[in-house]
Amino acid sequence: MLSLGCDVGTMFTKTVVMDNGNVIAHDITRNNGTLKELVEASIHSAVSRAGLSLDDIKVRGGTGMGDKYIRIEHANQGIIKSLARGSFWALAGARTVVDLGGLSTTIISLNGAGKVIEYRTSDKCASGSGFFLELAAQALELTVEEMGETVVPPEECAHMSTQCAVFCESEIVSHINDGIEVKSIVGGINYSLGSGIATMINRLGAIPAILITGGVAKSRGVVCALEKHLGVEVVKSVPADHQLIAAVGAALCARDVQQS
Amino acid sequence: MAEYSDRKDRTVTTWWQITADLAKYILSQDINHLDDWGGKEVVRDILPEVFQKNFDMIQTDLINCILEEKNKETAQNFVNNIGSYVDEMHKGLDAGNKVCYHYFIHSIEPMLALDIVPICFEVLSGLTAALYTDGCEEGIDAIEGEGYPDHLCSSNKGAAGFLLKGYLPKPDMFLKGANPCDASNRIYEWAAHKCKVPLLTTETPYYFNERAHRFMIGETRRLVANLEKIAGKKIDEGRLREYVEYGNEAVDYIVKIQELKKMVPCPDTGWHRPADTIFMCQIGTPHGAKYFRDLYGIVKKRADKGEGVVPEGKKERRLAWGYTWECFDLPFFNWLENEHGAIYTEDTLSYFPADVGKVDTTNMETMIEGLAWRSMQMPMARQTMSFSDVWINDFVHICKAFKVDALILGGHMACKHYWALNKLMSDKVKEKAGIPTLRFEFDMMDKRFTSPAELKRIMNDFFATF
Repeated sequence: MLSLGCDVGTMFTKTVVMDNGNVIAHDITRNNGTLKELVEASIHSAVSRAGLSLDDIKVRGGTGMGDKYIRIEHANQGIIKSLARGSFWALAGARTVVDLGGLSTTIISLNGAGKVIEYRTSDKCASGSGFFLELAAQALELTVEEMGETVVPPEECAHMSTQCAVFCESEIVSHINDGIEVKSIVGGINYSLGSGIATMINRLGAIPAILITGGVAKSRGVVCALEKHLGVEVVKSVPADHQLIAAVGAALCARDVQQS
Repeated sequence: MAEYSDRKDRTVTTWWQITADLAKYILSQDINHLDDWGGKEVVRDILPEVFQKNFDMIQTDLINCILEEKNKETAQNFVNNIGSYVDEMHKGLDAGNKVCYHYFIHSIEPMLALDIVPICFEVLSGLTAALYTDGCEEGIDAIEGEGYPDHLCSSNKGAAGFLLKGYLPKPDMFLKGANPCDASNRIYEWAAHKCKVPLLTTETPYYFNERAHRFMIGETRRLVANLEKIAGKKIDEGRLREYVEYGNEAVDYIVKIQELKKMVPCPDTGWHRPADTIFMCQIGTPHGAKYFRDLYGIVKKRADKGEGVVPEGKKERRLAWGYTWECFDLPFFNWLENEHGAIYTEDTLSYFPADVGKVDTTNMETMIEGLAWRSMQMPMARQTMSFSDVWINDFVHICKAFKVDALILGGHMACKHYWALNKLMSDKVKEKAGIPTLRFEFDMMDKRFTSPAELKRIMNDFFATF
């Protein structure tokens, strides 16, 4: 059965086309411009990459903060449900899902059957999010990818006293003026982010297997720092791009409804 | 049409009095929604002039909520007894009786027997927040202007601010038990200091053993002696018995209603749960007894027919609220029923353990002993006495006994004692009852902290995971 999932996040729109539970095409588009048009373009891009037309796909699920901008007929699935479903698809043994998104972090506890037991979202603060990393990268004149590839041992990390997206820029500037190496500053930022995310995870309980999703999951630096703080390894390899998991979940939830 | 006081020091209670009469008037019409009467603007012009200003203040969604067929009887019960509550209070004030502003966990029978007018501080904030679009925010802002921060409890601050603005009768005393928190103790201390009147206090024991009970009896005796001193007379045993019997009746019905709420489908609507707490603060009064007696009748009638309160075709989802309701948006609980089929079983502020029992009215001594025992078991007093186990065990029990599908741990942001145990409770309930939990923050009485729209978003996300 063909299905489509679209996750309209705060920084990116992600679309997947699935056939019998496998991703056959996807699109990731940055949200620069009019959201309604971007979403439409993302959907059409994924569908055409799959060699299909929209009419071929009757089962469609939408999710994310911008779900209302999905103008094609679809069923809204809710972000927590989509993340849970997508994560269970990615890793059947997942018990803790850590979604590191554009403007928020979400932690979800699953039982052995993939049912949500509890979740927490940092929806009032951009700390630890993709947006935070972009601000830091700009201040350091690096790309987010360059920051992500920087893994520094804790003892070599510059001390970051804030996880606040607003105040971190001035702290970075202070460190640069003090002559601290950029690598150490990056390490300090990643280490500080890892600490904040680990605290959130521990609030629910860091039950393995811990699966990381969302755009920030691509930052090796943040993920390594997170593992150091948690004292356990997280699952880094999944059958689709980490950023697509919620879109996959939306597609699967829509399919589940269709099949039930 | 009733005559309403224009005294500034009865501003808040007169708002309630007019609202109660206005609600009775609207409920007497054959409508299920304001739109059936032409919409809000049209209705305003139809209303008698005396109601129009008050009508502008009331939350429109609340009016539409109580006009829903399933809510009408409970709404009538609520407004009738609010009217009686204010009438009684005003009569006492007109007679020149002493006024005691007290914390909500106290038994008020000794005050009633001494002709003291008991006014619950937290009810002042809560009821005003529940009824009006601007809630008790004017009071909160006034007290914050005195230097109190936004993270202290709005249930104290709203009333304290109204007092500061002169909207409430002058107190002759304040009464505050030691639990649940030091911050609320300090606000009462401030209010007593500001009003230059005594602050009466009672200490709190640990647990529910014999030693604790003996301690509480001593505290109750000490309190009665202090009340007698201020009232300038000795308590009359016969009058105390009269009020204690009203209290026994109310508690009896509270426990019976709880039993009915264990049924599937649940026969009780959720919108009035904060109102239940308000009337728990009236245990010992005739209208307190009447509220729960009539509520029992409404719930029993539905239970006997095997009827629930969620729309036909919707699956009933049974919620317990591990701490508290919010009261700035009562229709929210009605929305939960209608939108998600989510019924409201119990919460900390309305749960009465079934073994509280009646107060023995044999003589003065037995009544003091019984009131001491009951005041230890009052909602929130019981859970905040000492360690976390009472609170947590209560909710493990509630989740099982009421066949709860999910525990909602919506927490009042000011309650540090709650936030210090919320994870313990969540973990234990997940482990023992095997149900999901949801934790989030709001301010019980101030919608500016977590808005009604945000609450709905949180719940929509949560129910999407079912």
